[in-house]
Amino acid sequence: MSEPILMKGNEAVAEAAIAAGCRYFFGYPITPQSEVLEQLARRLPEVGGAYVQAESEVSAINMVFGAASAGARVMTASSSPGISLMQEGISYIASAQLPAVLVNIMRGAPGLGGIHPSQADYFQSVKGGGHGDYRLVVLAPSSVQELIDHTVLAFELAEKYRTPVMVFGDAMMGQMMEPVVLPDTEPYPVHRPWATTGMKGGRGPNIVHTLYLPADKLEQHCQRLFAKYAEIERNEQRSVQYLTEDADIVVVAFGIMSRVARAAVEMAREHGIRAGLFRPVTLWPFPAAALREAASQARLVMAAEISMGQMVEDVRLAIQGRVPVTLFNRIGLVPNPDEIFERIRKEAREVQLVNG
Amino acid sequence: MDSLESRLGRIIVVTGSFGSGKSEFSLNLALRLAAGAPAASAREVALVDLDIVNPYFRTREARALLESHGVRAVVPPGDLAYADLPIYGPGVAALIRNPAVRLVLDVGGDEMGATALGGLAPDLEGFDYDGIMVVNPYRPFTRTARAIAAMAAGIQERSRLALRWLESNPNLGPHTTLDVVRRGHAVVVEAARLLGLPVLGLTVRRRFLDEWQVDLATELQVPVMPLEIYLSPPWLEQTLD
Repeated sequence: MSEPILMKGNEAVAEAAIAAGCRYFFGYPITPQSEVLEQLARRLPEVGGAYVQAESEVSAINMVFGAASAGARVMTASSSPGISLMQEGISYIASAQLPAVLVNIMRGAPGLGGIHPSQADYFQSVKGGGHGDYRLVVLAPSSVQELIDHTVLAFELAEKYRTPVMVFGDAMMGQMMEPVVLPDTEPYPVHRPWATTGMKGGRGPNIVHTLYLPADKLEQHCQRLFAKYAEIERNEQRSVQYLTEDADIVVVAFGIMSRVARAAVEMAREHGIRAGLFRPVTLWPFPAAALREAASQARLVMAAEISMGQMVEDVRLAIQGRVPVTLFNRIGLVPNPDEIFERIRKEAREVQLVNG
Repeated sequence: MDSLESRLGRIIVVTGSFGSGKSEFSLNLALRLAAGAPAASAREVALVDLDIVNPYFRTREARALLESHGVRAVVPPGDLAYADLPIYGPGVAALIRNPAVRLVLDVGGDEMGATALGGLAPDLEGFDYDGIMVVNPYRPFTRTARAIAAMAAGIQERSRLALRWLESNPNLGPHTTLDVVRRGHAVVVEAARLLGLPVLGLTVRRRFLDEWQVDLATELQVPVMPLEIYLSPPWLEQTLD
């Protein structure tokens, strides 16, 4: 392992991409993720790669489409409004079954919103965003080290399943600084016999496309995509649990909010309330079975998010009405642990887990 | 040994690369200046947030804390404090000219941030000031003495101002050890030698100093400034695996 250093989340994403073998980046700057671009603009030429600042996010995502088709390990990064502009291209990349990594360092929304931390792009990326039937693998790291580890994992999953993978962060994670160690393992190999790398007088042409005019061909294409998504759902659900074994109240939170929730769960335990934390690491595929199991003894499940309530819908689908599901949410900031703790205490009184 | 702040004059300009710890250093310094004996004729301490690069973890987040300790916080007014715009608070030039104000200017990260300071260079002309570059040798672009010297050159060129001191801030956040501080400080000392500048002081988190109980000032022959963290919430460290 290399020496530990102190990195900001955005810098860490950029260095992790290089460590994962990414040599091409196309993007457009936006607060709070601009340091990903700045770092890669400086670093990619040093490692024989190329950085292009496109004229817009629409352009950047289509450059990603082209580079991935031609066999390149490629990434883009943006923040909420910029990711909105990329949705058409993401649908094309998913349909064309191309490996690509997308990073969303979310900011306050809707509209221009603000530059605050946010988790309100859950619906957009986890449920669709672009047009048509496709899925996006979505990873939700909760520390700067995990931003590194999940960026590396994203390239691996993208390559293995020939599908776009998104890494979710927020304004706070992009900007906060934590000690990290960069990976020194070999990048996951690039093996793309289907890529448009030139016939070289040997094979027939490789064609990357997303157009299926005959109705039966389109249906077959979607069936193939969804057979692959079913395999991802079987193999790639990831989650982390903390003190859930005996928990009466299970808090469900991802990303930065899971850090706050963990501190709140510790406060609740100090006050004799059996609380636990369930943290989805993959938002799609959502670790529904693991959550259902973790909450099997619970009296209440509480989703905690920095949005008006989006992940809570997946929590309800997973819980299937067996236990009441409630929502703690804030907008425009990362709350302090005592806010979640107070809510846990109030709920605990209501389900009569504690007196007073 | 002298205290760190006794080495400094009325106008203090704090700079450093993005994430070097300059904003925490500036905050701690301003609070120490406000708590200590008033220097010369200065009756008031003011901290100016000139950080136009990093829109998060900025001095402006600590405005209430500063004001409760009698430090005037000069930050962009109203809603603009929450924006990512290249602006700073009003009246900076007047503060530079006011002999009754002990001034700490917290300048944004790296060469680009220092460009903001370049705009103030004409206002600072003719005034004596202490230019300080805060250095954490555990940050990606300042890991070697040569890299630190290059960063210092870039900042001076862009800001059109001279550095007088390096402030040594070697740390790995919550993973800082005594060995990390000693090894990192040696890198900063070497950078200072390359630049021909003295090391102003060594910044170490107060809780580590309390824990280690080592006389670093005598060992390393440098004033040690205990640091409190104000701009990052405590739960972030508590939940770091």
